[in-house]
Amino acid sequence: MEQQTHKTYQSQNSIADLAATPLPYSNVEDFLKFIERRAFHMARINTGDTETALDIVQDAMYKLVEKYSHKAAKEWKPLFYRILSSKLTDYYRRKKIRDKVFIWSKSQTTDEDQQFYDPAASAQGPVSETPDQMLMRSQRINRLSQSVQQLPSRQRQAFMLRCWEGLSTIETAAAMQCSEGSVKTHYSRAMHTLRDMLEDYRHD
Amino acid sequence: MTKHSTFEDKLRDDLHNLEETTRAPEIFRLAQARNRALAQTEPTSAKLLWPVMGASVASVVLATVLIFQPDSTGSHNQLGNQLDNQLASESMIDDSIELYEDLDFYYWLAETDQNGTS
Repeated sequence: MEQQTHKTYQSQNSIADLAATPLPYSNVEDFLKFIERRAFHMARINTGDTETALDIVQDAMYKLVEKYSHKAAKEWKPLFYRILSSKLTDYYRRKKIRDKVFIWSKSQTTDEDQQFYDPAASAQGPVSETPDQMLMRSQRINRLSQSVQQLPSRQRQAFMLRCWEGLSTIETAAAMQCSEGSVKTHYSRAMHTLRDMLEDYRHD
Repeated sequence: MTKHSTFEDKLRDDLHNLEETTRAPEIFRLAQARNRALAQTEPTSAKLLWPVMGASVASVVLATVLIFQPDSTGSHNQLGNQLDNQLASESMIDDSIELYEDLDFYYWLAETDQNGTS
């Protein structure tokens, strides 16, 4: 049900549509509930680590409540993703320095859990799906997850915010703190790369 | 354009399915994180509550004292006069006592003066 609301909300991308559509949340708590899982998966794909992703999402939630909870509800989403993006950028910077300093123990981006747990394996498709279809879907999600991870960080960000979260170009630009033109370029390149990587989506 | 949208739609659909794979421990941790983030506003209000309450109580007490203080101007003057009188009488008593103590000396002095002059 919640996912259905999420999807309906996402199908409207223009600012006019967004302004006209009632938000599925009216207070900060509902907003955080609405956004937390997606934010977590985005952070996990970005960092490749569950614990780090949880920490980053927690920090982003904390900062949103601390600094922006008094703002209008429609501003929370771009603000939250802006915070999340800057937290991820901080993470990359720290990781880069750590990798340079401790060159002999270069930090791994593989999630220990992921070695034993396949997040896509428990993916719930439509009820009408056969086991074969479910398996195919889970494999596809896995490949998609890995492909997104391989994108350059700005392209990945643009892809996640535009395609996954369904933000408009203006909102994505605000979240990424860059121009709309840059968003369009990053997004277009990301889609191009993904189309090349994910051949099976085209034939599915 | 349609081809592009279909590809994009498929990706979006699968990404939304990925969200449904969130495991119970992760959902629990996210709920904890959310509660922690939301709880930070509570201590702030509690911190503000005490100084505000303290200031209110102090101002009420001050107002009460200023409004209901007794008219003490007259009694102040009476008290001052009483003290002045008391001090004056005490100094007079002190002088008198000195006079009585040296009374013999003053008699002798008077007699000596009379004898000398006569």
